[in-house]
Amino acid sequence: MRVRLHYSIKIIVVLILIMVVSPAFANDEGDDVSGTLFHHVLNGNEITLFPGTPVIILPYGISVHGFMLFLSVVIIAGLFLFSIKKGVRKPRGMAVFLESIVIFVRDDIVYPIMGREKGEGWLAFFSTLFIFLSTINLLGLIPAFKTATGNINVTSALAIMVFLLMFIIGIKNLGLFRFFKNLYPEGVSPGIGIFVTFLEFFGLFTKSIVLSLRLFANMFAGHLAILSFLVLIFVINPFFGFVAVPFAVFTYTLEVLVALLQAFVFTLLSCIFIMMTSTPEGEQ
Amino acid sequence: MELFKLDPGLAIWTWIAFGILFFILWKFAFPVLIGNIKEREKLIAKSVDDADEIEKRLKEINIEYAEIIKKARTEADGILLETRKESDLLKRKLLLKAEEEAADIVIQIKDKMSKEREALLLALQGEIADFVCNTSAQIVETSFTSEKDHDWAMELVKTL
Repeated sequence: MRVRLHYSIKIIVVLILIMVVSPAFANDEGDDVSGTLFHHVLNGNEITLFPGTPVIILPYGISVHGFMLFLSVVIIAGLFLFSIKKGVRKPRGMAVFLESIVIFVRDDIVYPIMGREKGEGWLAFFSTLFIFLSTINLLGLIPAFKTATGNINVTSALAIMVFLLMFIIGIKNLGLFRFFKNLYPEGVSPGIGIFVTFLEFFGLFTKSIVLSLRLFANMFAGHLAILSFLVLIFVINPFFGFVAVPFAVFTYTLEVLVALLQAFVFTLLSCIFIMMTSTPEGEQ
Repeated sequence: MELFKLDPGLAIWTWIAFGILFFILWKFAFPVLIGNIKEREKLIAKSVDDADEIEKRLKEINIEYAEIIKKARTEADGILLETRKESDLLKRKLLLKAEEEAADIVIQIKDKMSKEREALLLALQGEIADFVCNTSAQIVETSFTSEKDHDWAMELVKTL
């Protein structure tokens, strides 16, 4: 009981501090709430590491989202190159974590969908995709950083890559004629068959577009939700922080889950789509 | 709208970033990592196989052990039965031998006893005869005073 009281007092003190200090960091844009919100979510070339500290402007026209992409590349490559050692029978620390991610991708995404034989060649690609997306999504949850996957251009680029792979691998495995024949349904009249083939063909595009939009919307909306709760403190009343901060914390926690879940969904669907287009219908 | 503003440069940077990362991981990290995982999985699979083999062998040994125990028990029962039969036979033989010996001893004793009795009887007869003779002689000496009686008596004694 005493411990609970102790924590409750701490939480109340933190909330009061947030309410007292927060107006000092309010954006100059004042009443332009949507502008303030989008300023924190959309791409730009400015980074503010801590409230009140000077704004860092990225050189050579590098955008924050581009910077986040390369930061995640550096982090992932660094983690892999420094922690994975050859011939280690009992991995420790980070190596265990990285191995478990790769095993997760292998056993829960690649092998169940593609099979062991075919999946072995694709494991590196899908593991990289999953780790890349997870890192970008999670980096965006660190205050002062931005989520690159909250930018439609980034998610579209990745979706286009998957779309091109669907075509290239499909045509390479099946041949051009069988690739399109694969879209044609069995046992229907030619008119309906051609119509369905047409729909299936455009389905390939829509699948990729949806893949891109799903990731973008989830990541963008999550951050927007957190910021919206916090902006309410400035818009309504500082005392609204008693409601807004717990909600923001809850949404933030949810965002951690969503960040990993969306990386998983993107990787899983990419794997399914590539497998679907590169395998004859009977063998799927 | 700012939200959906096209930025081909960022898209190209995304491909480049992903390409660089994929190349680094594919070239330097994944061969080592996947190799380690495979090696460990092989080791685990081998250990599991070994454990299965040991378990199988253990089951076989248990079966063999049970069979040996069963066989030993059967053999022991057989040996026990055989021994019991042999001991019964030996007991019977010994009993017969003892009976025979006892009978022999009885016969011998009986012989000895009859011989001794005969000897005793003979001795007794001699003693009695001597006694009778002596007694008769004394009677004759005391009772037959005449010469004629004495002679008759002596004659009678001689005939005995």
